[in-house]
Amino acid sequence: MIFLTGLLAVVLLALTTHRDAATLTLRPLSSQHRLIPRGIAFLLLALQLTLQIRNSDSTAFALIEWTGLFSVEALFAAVICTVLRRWREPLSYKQRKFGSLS
Amino acid sequence: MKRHFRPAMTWLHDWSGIITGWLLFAIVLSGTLSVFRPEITLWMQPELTRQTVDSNQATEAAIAWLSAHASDSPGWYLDTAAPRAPFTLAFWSDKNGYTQRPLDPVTGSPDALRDTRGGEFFYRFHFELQLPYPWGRLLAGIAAMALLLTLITGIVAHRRFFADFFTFRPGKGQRSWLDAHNLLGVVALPFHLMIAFTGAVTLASLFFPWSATALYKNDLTRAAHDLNPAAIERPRSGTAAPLTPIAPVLRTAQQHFGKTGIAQIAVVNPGDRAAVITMTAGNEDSIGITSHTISFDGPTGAILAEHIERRPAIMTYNVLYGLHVARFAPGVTRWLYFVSGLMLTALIGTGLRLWTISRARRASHFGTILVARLNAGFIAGTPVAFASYFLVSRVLPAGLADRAGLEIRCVFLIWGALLVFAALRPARKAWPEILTLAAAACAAVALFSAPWHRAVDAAGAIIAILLAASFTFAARRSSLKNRII
Repeated sequence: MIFLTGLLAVVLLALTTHRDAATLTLRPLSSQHRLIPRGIAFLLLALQLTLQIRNSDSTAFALIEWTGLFSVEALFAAVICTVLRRWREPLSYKQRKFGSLS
Repeated sequence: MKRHFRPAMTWLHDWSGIITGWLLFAIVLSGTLSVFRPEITLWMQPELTRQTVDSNQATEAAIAWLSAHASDSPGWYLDTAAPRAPFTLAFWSDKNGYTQRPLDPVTGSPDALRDTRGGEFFYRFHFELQLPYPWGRLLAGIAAMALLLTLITGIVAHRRFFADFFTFRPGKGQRSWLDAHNLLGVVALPFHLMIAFTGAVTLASLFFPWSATALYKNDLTRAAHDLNPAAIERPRSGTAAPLTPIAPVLRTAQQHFGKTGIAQIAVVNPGDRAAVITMTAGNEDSIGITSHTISFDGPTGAILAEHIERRPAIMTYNVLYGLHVARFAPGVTRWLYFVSGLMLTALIGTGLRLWTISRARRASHFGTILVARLNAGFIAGTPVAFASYFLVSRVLPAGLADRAGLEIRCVFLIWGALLVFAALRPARKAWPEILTLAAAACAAVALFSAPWHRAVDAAGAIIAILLAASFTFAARRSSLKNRII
């Protein structure tokens, strides 16, 4: 549960980067639209840390674990983005050839 | 100035990385493995089948055996049995010099257990590099500082830190290697910085000894006493006196330490009137190490001194050291240290590979070719050498003389042979060959874990299978690329 909360947060953070927003949503989000997932992502990360502290005997231990979990979740998010990008590559080619689908 | 800053940092990143890269690769990989130091020792001791032991009973058995068989040793140093390591790890001196062996938790004897360093080999190699004092530690300290420098210059050199945070574009040659290098560096950057900084701090006294030299001159005993006032050191009196029964001493220490329990016991001058038993508390409830110590009079069991560390400077050092060695770490955190350590190993490996790829496009000369070949020997060869340590441990007969030393010599022989092989063979051929060997070695480790009854065997087999699959994938990619070229 804690891991999934963090994973959702980092996927939302990936959505706020120019390249991965295009991967995840088919088109880049405007800078204003990116603020919403970024805000939600930070809220989820804060929630994850709160849950971590509540479940742990020590706040320091929880902070260390949360930092480590973030690294693994970010790696997972990168793998998800890579797989999606590979999957959508032919679409990107079409987009390049026939123009934007939107 | 601003225009030249980033290129200067990139240059420094490249060169500090390539000069210390191979050394760092071995140091980081061995450090990553030593996160599971007791578990590796347990894996290498298939005779130890007990899942749980009573730590006090194991200590009593160990002290009884040492009293009977190592009474001439100037000291006995014990790591007590714990749930992760259901055996007492003892260090004492005999006619062949100092020896370190796990002791059976029931009999206290090492005779039924095979002679192996277990996880201690990776732990010691991580900062001593199997070199005599202080050379290994000096090299490890320089490598830690170089890692810190490389990380900081890498942050400056990375142009699109946040924009490319999650970016990995496979199948694009140099671009893919750079993406992998950036990704592995960025996502676990807090861990990388922490482990490099705390590693450098851990060995800092070797590089900056002047404050201690100015204060204590050459009186190391006084320095050690000031660092830990409860660790009493008395010269041998020459008058024989039996050691007090250990059980009441253990009970007293348990009462003082509370739930952290006893982690280490040192018995200095055993069998002498001046014997001292020093007990150190565990640190499972705090990040910092060794904060509570009690010394007992050996013959009577009376408390001589007790010290709970509260001095800010030493506590700061203890926390930094504790963060590095992660003895406090509960299960999940230990796994996260392990995964982050693997990421740091891969970060160094991709950096080394990137250095040669980026230069291969230019006119190749001897230096670049040699680095490219040795990269194959180090990056693919080190996992083979380390995996062979596990295999040799299961293959060598249990009763062989100097078995532990032989295991370690085998690692370096295999490592050296692979480096020579890689140096003599074109890199494009050596890469898939050594990677295939790494996959085979890891698969063999999984097989040798049979019959997988103990949790440590099952976990070891799973990790080995995952690593074997990764190396198979890498070998296949590597050979496919050769066919395309």
